[in-house]
Amino acid sequence: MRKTKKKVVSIALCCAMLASITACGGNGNSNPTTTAGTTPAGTTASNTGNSSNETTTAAPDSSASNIVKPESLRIVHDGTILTEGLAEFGSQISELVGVNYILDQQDHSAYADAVGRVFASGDWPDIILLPAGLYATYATTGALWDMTDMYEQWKTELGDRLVSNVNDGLKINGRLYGFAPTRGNGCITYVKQAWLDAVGIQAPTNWDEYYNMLKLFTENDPDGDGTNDTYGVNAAGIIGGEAPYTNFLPEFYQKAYPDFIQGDDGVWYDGFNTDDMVAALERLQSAYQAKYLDPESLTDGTKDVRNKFYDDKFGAFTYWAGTWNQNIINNLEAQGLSTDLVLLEPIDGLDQYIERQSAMWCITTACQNPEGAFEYFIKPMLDDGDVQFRYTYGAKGFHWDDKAETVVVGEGDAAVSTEYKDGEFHMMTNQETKTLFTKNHLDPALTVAPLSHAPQSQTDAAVESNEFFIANSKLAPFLPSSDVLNDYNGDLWELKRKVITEVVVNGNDVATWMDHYRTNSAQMVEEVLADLNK
Amino acid sequence: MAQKNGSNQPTVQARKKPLGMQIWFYRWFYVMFLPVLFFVIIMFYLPMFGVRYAFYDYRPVGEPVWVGMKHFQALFSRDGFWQAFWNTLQISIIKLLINTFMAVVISILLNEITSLAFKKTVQTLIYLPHFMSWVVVASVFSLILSPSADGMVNGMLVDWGILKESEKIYFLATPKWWRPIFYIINIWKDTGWGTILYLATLSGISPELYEAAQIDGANRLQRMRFITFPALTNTILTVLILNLAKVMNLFESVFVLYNDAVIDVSDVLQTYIYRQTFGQGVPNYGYTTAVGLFKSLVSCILVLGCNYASKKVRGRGIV
Repeated sequence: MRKTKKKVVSIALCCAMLASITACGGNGNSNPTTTAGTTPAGTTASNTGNSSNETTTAAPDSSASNIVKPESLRIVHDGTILTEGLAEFGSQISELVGVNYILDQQDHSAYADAVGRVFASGDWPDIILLPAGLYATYATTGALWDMTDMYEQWKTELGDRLVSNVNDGLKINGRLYGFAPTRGNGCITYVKQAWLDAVGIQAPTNWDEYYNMLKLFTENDPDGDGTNDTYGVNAAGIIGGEAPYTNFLPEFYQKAYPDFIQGDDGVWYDGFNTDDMVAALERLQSAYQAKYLDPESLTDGTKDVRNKFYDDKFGAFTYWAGTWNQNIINNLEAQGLSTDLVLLEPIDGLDQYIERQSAMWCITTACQNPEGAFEYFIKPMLDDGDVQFRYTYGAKGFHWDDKAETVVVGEGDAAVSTEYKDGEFHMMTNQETKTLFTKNHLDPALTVAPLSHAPQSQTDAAVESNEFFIANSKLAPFLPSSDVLNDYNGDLWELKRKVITEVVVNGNDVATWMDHYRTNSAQMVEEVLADLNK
Repeated sequence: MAQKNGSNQPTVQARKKPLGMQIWFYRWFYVMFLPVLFFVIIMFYLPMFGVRYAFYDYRPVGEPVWVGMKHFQALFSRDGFWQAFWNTLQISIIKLLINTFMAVVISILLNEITSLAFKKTVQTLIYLPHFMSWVVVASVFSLILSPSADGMVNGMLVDWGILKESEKIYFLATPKWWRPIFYIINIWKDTGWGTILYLATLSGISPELYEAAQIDGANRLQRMRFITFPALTNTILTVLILNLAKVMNLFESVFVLYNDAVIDVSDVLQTYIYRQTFGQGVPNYGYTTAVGLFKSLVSCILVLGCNYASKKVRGRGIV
C-alpha cells in the first residue's frame, strides 16, 4: 500500500512539474499583447455607427486594382497605440477594413530591444512600427519593403489633404521604406511670465538676454520665498540619449548637432567636431558652473524635471509642444501657481526648434502581399473616415462615444461629472487613472493628412503650442546608418559624453577636450565617413 | 564472501548491485526527477550552444557570419572594456566583503538580544529594504543626497557648520564620493537579508557550549572567538563562494546610480554591454555574446579559485 502511494505521488509530482514547464513556455516577449480582429476575411466592411463627427467610408475595393486583399496582417507595434482597449480597437478596425489585424504589442519601454528580437527570431511580422533611430538602419539591411511607388501614387490621390511632406524627407537614396502618418513633434521653451515680471525683464530674443534671464532667475529670488533656492533652467540630461539629442537645451546648442550630418552638398561630416559644438560647450560650461543650469540636470529624468518646474524650482523649461502645454498648465494650477507661460520664440542663433523624426510604419520583406498591406493597412489609417477616426481617438464605446451619458473624471471629492447628449462626441474615462483619454495613435494636431471633421478633443493651449511649434521648427538632420557606424557608434558616443562631462560638469578646458575627442575618434570617424560617403 | 573482522567475527561483504538493477530499484525517484532533468537540459544546457555566436557577427537581420576571434580582439583592445572589467571586480568584491562582514556583525549583535519581540522587530525592519526596487532606492537616495536646497545630507552638513552653502557636495556625481555612497546604500539595502542565514546558523549552536565556556571563565569576546566564529566559518565561506559566482553580474544597482560624471569609477561590465548594445542602431549580438562568455569564464575561475583556496586552508571546499 505504501509502495503504491509512493508511485502515485511520484507520478502526480512528475505530471505537475511537466505541466508547469509547458505552461511557462512563452514567446520571449516581455509584456506582449496580441489581439486579433474578430472579422473573418472576405467580410464587407460596414460602418460601426454614425455620428455628426464621423464620415462614413467603405473599405477599399480590391477589384478596382490588381491588389489582392489579404486575409490577415500581423502587426508589431509599441505603446503608442493605447494598451487599454487594444482588443476593442483591433476588432473595430478589422471589421471596418475587412482584414483580420493581429496586433502584437511589445513592451514600450524596451521597444528597441523587442524589435531586435523580433527580427532575430526569424518570425518577421507583415508590418512593424519602427522608431526613427531604427528605420534607417533596418532599411539599409534589406529588411523593409520599398513602398516608394505606392506612396507617390497615394500622395497624388491625397492631394490637398496632405498638409506635411515629412515623408519626402525620410527617403533613403530617393526610396521610401516606411510611412510616417504624423509629424514627429518637438520641444519649445516655456518661460514663467510671473518670474519674468518678478525680475523685471521681457522674454529674451538672443543669447545674452537669455543668459541674463537665467542669471536673474537664479540670483534674484523670483519665486519670492526669501531663499535663493531657484535655478534658471533645468533639463533631463545635458545631452539627450536619442535623436535629436539637443531638444531639451536648444538655446545652448543652437546650430550644433552632435551626430553625423549630411550637408547640403550631400557629403557627410562629423557634427561633433565643429565650431558650433565648441561654442555650445562653452555656453553650457558657463551656465553649469555658475549654477544657472541646475547641476542635477546631469542625472534628472524627465519626470524629475517636470516636478521641479511644478514645484517652482526653475523658470525656463523646454518640453514637448501640444498636449504637454495643457498638462503643464494643469499641474501648475494644481500647485496654486500662475499658469501664464510665455512660448519663447527661438532666439537669434537658434532660429528654429528641432522637430524629431517620426516613427514609421514599415512593411517587412517577409510580407507575402506587401501591396495589399499598404492598401489595407497604411492607406486606411488616413482615410478621413471611421478608420482614421479610431486611429486618432480610439475605439468607440471604450475611448470615446457619442451616446447620451454622464462621464466622471477623478474620484471621491475631486470627481467631476459631465453630461453629454445623444450624438455629442466626448472622450471617456480611463478607469485606471480616472482621467480622460485624449487620443490614440495619431495626434490630431500632427497628422500629415488631418481629419476634415475632427471634433475638438484638444484644448486651446495644446492647439496654440502645436501651431507655434509648426511655425518655428525644422526637421532634425536625417539619421545616418551604416554597418561601420553600427560598430563604432557605442564607442563614439562614450567619447562624446566624456568630453561633454569633462567640459561642462568638471569645468575643464574646451579646446583640450575637443583635441582629446579628435585624437581618439579620428580613425573611427574616418572609417564611418568613408562608408557613409561612398 | 565471508571475511573475519578485528574481533574474529565473520562478516559478509555486501555484493554491489549492477547499475541497471539500482536504477530499477529506485525507478520512481528517477521518474520524479525526469521533469527536472528536462528542465535543466532545456533551460540551462541547450542555451549554451548559443555561446558559438561569440565567434559570429550576429545581427537581427541576415544570417550569422563567422568572424572568429574578431569580437574578442575588439573587446580586449578597447580601454572602456578593461576599465569596466576592473571596476566590476573591485566594486563587486569590496561590496561582497563589506556586506558579508556587516551581515555577520549584525547577526551576532541580534543574537545577543534577549527580548524575542524586540529581536524579531529589529530583524524585520533591517531586512525590509531588501524588497525595495533599486529604482525606488536610487530615487530616494538621490533626493537625500541632492546638492539642492532639498538635499537632507547637505542641509545637515551646512547646519552643523561642516560645509558652507556654496560648498555643497553633489555626492552621486563626484567620483571620489560615488563608491563609498554606493557601498553604504548596498549595506542599507542588503545586509539585513544576509543576516537571515547567519542567524539560522547561530541559532543552531548548542547553548551548552556557551554554558560550558562560561563555567570555564570565558568572557563574552572569548565565547565569540572560540564558539561563535568557528561555527559561522562554514556558512561564511559557503556564502562567499556562492556569491563569488555572481560577482560579474553586477548591473541594476550600478545602472540606477551611475551617470556620465562618475563613469570612470562606476562603469561595470554589464552597464558597458548595455551601452554598447543599445547605443547602436542594430545590436550586434555576437559582440555582446563574446563579452558575456568572457564574463562567465572569469566567474568560473573565481569560484573554482576560491574553492581551491578553501580546500587548501580548511581541508574542504564546497564544489
